[in-house]
Amino acid sequence: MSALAVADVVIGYGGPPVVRGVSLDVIDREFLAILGASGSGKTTLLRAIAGYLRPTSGTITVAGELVAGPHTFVPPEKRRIGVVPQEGALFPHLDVAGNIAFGLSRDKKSARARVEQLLEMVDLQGLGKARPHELSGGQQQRVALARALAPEPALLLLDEPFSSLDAALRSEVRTQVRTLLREVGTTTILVTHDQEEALSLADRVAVMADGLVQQIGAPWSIYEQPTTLEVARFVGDLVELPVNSVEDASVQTALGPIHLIGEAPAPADITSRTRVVLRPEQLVLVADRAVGDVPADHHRGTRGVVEAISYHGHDSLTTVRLDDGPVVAVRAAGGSGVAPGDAVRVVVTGGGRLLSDPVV
Amino acid sequence: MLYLIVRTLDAGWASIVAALWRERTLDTTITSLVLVIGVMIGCLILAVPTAWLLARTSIPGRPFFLVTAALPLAVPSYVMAYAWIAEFPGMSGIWAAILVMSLATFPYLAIPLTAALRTIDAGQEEAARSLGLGPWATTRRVTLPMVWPAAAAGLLLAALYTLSEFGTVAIFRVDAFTRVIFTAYRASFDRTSAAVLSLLLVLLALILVIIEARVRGRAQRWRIGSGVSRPAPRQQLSPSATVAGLAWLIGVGLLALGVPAWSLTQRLMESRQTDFDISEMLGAIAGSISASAIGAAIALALALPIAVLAARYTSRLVKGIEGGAFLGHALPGVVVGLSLVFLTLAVLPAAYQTLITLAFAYAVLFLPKAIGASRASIAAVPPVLESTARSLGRGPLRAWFTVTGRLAWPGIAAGALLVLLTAMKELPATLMLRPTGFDTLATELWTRTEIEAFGAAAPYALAMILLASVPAWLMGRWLSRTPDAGIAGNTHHDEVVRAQEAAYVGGAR
Repeated sequence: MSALAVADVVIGYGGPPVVRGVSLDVIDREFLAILGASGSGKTTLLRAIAGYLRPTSGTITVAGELVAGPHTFVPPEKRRIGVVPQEGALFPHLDVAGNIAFGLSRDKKSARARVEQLLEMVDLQGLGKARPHELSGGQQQRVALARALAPEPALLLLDEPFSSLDAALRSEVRTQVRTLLREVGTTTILVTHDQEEALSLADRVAVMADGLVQQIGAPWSIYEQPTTLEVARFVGDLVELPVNSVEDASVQTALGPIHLIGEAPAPADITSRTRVVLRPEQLVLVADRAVGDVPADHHRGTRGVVEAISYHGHDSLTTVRLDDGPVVAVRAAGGSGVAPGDAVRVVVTGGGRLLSDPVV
Repeated sequence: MLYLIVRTLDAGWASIVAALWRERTLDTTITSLVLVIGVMIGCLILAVPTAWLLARTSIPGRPFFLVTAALPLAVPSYVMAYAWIAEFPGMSGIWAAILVMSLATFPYLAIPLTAALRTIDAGQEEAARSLGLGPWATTRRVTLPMVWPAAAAGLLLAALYTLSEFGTVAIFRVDAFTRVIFTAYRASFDRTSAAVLSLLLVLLALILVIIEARVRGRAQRWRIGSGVSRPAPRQQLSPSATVAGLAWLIGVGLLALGVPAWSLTQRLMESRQTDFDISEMLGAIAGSISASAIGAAIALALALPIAVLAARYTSRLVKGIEGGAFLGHALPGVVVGLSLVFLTLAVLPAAYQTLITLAFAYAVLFLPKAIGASRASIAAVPPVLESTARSLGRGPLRAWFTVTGRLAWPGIAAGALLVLLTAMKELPATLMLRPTGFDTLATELWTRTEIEAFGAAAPYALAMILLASVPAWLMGRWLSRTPDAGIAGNTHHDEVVRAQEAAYVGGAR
């Protein structure tokens, strides 16, 4: 049984709809990330699932129970959906224990035991009496998580919960939260604009843009098999090349012939808006001059000049202007060993995909 | 209010036109305008150097002078007028009124201006300097435009306050609207004229309120970017400039506070020799409290639903309701008093000059204050807290009471308290509506001043100041308080807007 079923949901605030017909199925115990830029409608969808607003049309079903539909609207307090809002939103007038116990029944004894259990779970033992403002950002976030988990919700919604944390803390808290949720086994939906976060945490990722789900699938398939140019551009760096000509399963481009992955295209599908897309790590730099004992390799790759290098430590992204005009990005593990102005050759490994810019 | 219009129309167009075109009407309008413009200029002269000295220079004793710049708000302006005339019995006329009203209202400008100058991010002025602007050009092209909305709002507030002020104008025998209306009402044969003038006065006040709201709205739109802002550095003053600056601050302080304090002390000494009836005073206090408490209760009951809606929703209907209540700022006590006199006499004679009518007048007059205070504190509670409470299983009402209401109640209570204290100082409506034999502190002070029994009036003046200093004190706390832990960021315009709202709410009207 699916933990959450969203069917043809349209949501508007009076003007043109912000969510324009979304269908989603979330399996029990799954961790789904909804990834989208701001304005994509992802937060609006989350608010509708939580019950904070009512869809214009479509249905939302939680654990088999219809909670929003043409004649049904279950208020948020009856939905058994936990929410961890941005920046935690702890109640400032209550201490940590009071926050966690907020959604529990008023039976003092059982509530206290549950609070203790949750404090231990989020690794904040002994902080029950602390006030929210005395906690660090990461601790506040974990209290917010404990508070949402306390009533044992059927579904947990995380609304950009890590965006207010600084970079170093973020990856640490993320890992903690992921491990914890895997242990508890709560079905979870994470809404985020951070593609790295979505890809690294989720079992499946749904990419939203313009109020629609553009693609849904495993993280690797979103990154490696994007179905639209929009998704491909949003999820990581991209190399885009115009198509010069097509021969069966490969195309001619500024980088030479590139083998195509997926179905062979019908010639009619290829227009001026069609692009071959690759990821920067599929490109390799070879020196255009002799380096030490290794002679210059004049037979491989396409000539170009290094324009810029952005070095990230674990890898680097080198921008190369090809002699034919287009600019491509090349990712190498560690440094690339070249400097701006160097003449280089770019070699393609693996295949590319054909995607088209949508007609505007 | 509506009744006032009906009443005016009843009188027939001819007499309305007659009343409007009388030379008296024109004179009154001119007098009022001269008074208002004079006070605005006076406020600028007093407030601008003060605010600059306090916000941007190294002048010693800043915390002390910050208090003395705010403290005139704690002296009801007609108490200040009483103090001046008791000391200098020859004072009268429009210049005296401009002087006293400027001294009484300049904090409306000085406080928001100081806050604005203090909280502008140094980065913006530095950016202007790095782009090649000199210090004067920077002031003109960067600083002034940024503090302008705050300053303009404060100035308009002072103007509005002056326009509806009754006591001071009456004490100095200035024939501005309020006094003329009151006299016409007293003379009772000329009530049409009183009604016509009232409408004219409300019209002028409405214009001020609307401009003020516009300017304030602009101030709020001016928040850009995030991040911690850094206040501008203070200018080091040369020794001679320091002396001049201190002389200025002390001089303003002496005029605004020293003279009233000195005069009041003198009068108190005198009053010890005259017969002072303590039971009469207790009666006045009881009267003040009973009428004001009922008024505050009515105001709160009316204000709370409006405040909740206004803080959370922005539909046109809500805006309309809030705007309507906000226009209450444009209703001078004289006008509300007059309308209720007409209304009770015509519709419900039994209610004429009863405690309930008086309390109702207070509620109408001070509703905007109650709304402002509750709205601000409700809006300071992030809605996400309430929606989170819903997701944790609390129904809408329980979620509101356990979270939003719980967090906002200090502000709501402060709002009610402000209405209570402000109503205790109200003069003109009280004079018109009070039951026969019913006295409040304000009316006792008034009757004694009218017969120039300055000594006998002193204890009442002192009591009024004590009452009025409570809102001023609250306002000071409001200004210095950082928002509750975990709630809302502390940006430049939050602070300026809060200063303005505080000035609004804390004002001794």
